[in-house]
Amino acid sequence: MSASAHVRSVEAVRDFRGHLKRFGEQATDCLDSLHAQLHRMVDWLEHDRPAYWQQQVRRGFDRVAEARLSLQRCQTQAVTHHRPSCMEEKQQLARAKARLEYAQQKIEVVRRCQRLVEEEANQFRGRCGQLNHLLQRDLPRMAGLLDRILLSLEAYAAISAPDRPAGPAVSSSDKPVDKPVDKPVDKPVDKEGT
Amino acid sequence: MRVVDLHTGAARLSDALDQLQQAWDQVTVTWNDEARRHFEAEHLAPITPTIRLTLDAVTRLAEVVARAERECLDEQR
Repeated sequence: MSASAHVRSVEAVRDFRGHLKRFGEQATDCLDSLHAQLHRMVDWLEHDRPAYWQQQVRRGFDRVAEARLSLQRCQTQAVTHHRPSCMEEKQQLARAKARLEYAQQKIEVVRRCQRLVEEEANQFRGRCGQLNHLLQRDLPRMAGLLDRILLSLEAYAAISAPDRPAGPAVSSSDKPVDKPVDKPVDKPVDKEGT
Repeated sequence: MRVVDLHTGAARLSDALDQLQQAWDQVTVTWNDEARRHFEAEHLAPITPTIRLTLDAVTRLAEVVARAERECLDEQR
């Protein structure tokens, strides 16, 4: 089926071809960056956090032991018949125990967050499938289609130019092209044209 | 300091879409025929919803990641 083509600037179509290519590159970069950030988060949860909180638990046990010793020392230091209150040592032991408990709870929190983020990351990768398809398949096809349209317009401009001695020459740049063209047929391309 | 930043990538993706849309708006001034309408409807139109879908997914992921980051940090330090 033929229809009339109306293109006042072939150059504008060619410019858009360039914009489409840049869009593809930018979107691919963004998607790569998002996946890299996600990988970094998963790595942080699987390696950095468990190591940190396990270290905090070890330190916590050490501090509880130190605080308990300090309290025992204080309690055995009876001055004449007066039994010391050892309030400071008791508070220190309570703080050390609370910190240890906090660190132990965090190990469980990290495990829960690992599962949650991993599950969400898988869902995110699935949701990105459509964009991946667009970038890897659809955009190269669009670029190929634009290339064919441009070739067709330029070819027509080249053969029609000698027929217009009085008016402006039809060129492949910024001159109008009015020609009957077939509706573009989408053909797959192996790679993005330049 | 944040462990990860998903918002910058999402903002850049959104900007890239805006730039493509502006470029297309320029083309439509000088290209107005059946081939252009076909190209727009069949090829260009699906790009926006695809990007929006991805941006929505990033927003959802960013919320989960931010919560996990907060919960796993050492708030006592």
